[in-house]
Amino acid sequence: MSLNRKVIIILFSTIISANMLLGIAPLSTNIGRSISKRLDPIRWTIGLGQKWDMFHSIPTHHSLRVYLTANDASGKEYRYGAGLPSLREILPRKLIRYHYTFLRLFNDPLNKSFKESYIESISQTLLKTDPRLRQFTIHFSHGRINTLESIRKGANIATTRVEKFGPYKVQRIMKR
Amino acid sequence: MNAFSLLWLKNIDPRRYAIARIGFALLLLSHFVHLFPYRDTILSNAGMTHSSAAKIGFYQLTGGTSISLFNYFQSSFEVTIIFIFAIIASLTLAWGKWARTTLFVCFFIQLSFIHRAPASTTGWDSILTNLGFILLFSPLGKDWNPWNLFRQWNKKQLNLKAPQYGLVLIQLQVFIIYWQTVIQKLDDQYWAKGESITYFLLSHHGRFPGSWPVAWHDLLDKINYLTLIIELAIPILLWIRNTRRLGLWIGIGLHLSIAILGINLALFSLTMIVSYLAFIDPWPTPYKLKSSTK
Repeated sequence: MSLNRKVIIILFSTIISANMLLGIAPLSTNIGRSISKRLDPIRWTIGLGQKWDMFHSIPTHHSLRVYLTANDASGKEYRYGAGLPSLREILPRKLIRYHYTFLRLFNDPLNKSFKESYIESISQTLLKTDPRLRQFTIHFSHGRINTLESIRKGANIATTRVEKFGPYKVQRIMKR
Repeated sequence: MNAFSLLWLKNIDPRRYAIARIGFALLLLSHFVHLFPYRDTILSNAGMTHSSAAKIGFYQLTGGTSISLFNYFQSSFEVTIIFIFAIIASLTLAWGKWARTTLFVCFFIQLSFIHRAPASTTGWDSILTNLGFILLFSPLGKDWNPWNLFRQWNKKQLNLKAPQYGLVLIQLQVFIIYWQTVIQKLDDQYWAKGESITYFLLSHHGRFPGSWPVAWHDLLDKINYLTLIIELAIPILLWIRNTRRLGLWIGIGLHLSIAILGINLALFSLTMIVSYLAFIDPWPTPYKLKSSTK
C-alpha cells in the first residue's frame, strides 16, 4: 500500500471516529448541545448524524388514530382517512412510521413547516375529491398510558384524548 | 508501525468485508421493501408534504441542507421507479457486482429519504446511513459473491489482504450507539424507576395486548436494569475475541426479544444484528504471527 493511501485512510478514520466520539455527549448537557449545534448541519447533510436515543424516552402512547371530517356549504359532515393522496384510513399500529410522523407533526413545533404543508395538501386533495366541501378538521385521537399504580387499582390501560386541529378552509392555495 | 496506525491499517482477510457487505445489502433490501408501502404518502408531492416544505423543514430540524433526490423526482411514478432501483441495487450489492456504485445508489436513496421526510424517520434510518457512509469508503470484498464465499469458507490463509479500518469504524459506531443510548436512558425517569419495560409492553409497540405487564412488573423491573447492563456490556463482549461468542448470543437474544415482544421493530433488531458482522472473524490471524506483523 502506498504511503499516500495509508495517510488518507488514517485521516479518514480519525475524522469519522472523532465525529462518533463527539456524539456520545448527550443532548441534555451543555457540551452535547454545543457540539450538536456546530456539527449537526454537516452530519445530517452527509448522513453521519449521531443521535442514538432509541427508547431512552419510553413510549407512553397506547394507541393513535388520525382522521378528517369535512363539511359542505350546508354543514353536512363527511369523514375521510388521513392518508394522502387517496384520503385512506391510516393504521399507525400496523405502519409504525405514520405513528412517528403524526406525533411529530402535531406535537413538535419544530415540524411546523411539515404540518402546514400537510394541511395544505389535505385541502387541495379534498377540493379535488369533492368541490362542494368548504372546511375540514383533523381529529387526533391518542391514548396515553395511565400510571401503573392506577392500572393496578382497576383503571383502563390508557385514557384516550381527542385533539382537534382546525377548522381549515378547503381551498386551492392556503394562506400561511 | 505504531499502535494508532495499526488500529486502522492492519491487514485482515477480505472475506470479512464480503460478509459485512452481503449482510448490509440484505438489510438494505429489507429496509427498502419495508419503505415501499409508505413511498407515495411520505415521499411524493401527491402525499402528505410538498418537497419545497420538506427542504425548509429539514433545515429547521437539523440545520443541514436537503440534497434529496426526491426534491427533483416528485411524482408517485418517479418515486416508485427510484425504489425499484434501490431494491435492484441492494440485490446487486449483495452479489458483489459493481459494489461501490450500487452501494452509492443505495446510500444516496436512503439519505434522500431522510432529507425528504425527516419527520417519518426511525432510529435505524441513521444507523443505515452511518454504516453505509463508512462502507462506501472501505474495501468491500467485492471479489466474493455469496456463492464463492460459501464454497471457499474453509479455505485458510488467503494472499489477498485488506486494511481493517472500515470494520473498526463500524465496531466503534456500535459502541457509540449502545453507550449513548444507555447514557440517555440513565437520565430518563421511566428507566430510573424500573418502569420502562412495563410501559413498553403496554404501549403501541407491545405485540401482546392487555394489562398483563402490570401483573409482571416485579420481574420486568429487574429486566429494566438488566437491559441497561447488557447494553453497556454487548460492545465490550463483542470487541474481545474470547468473549465474542457470548456477546453475540446476548446481543442477538436481546434484539430477537425486542422483535418478538414488540411490533414494527424487526428491522431495528435486524440492523443491530447486521452491525455485529463487523466483529465476526471466522479466519483469525494466529496469535504467534502477530508479533512478526510490522
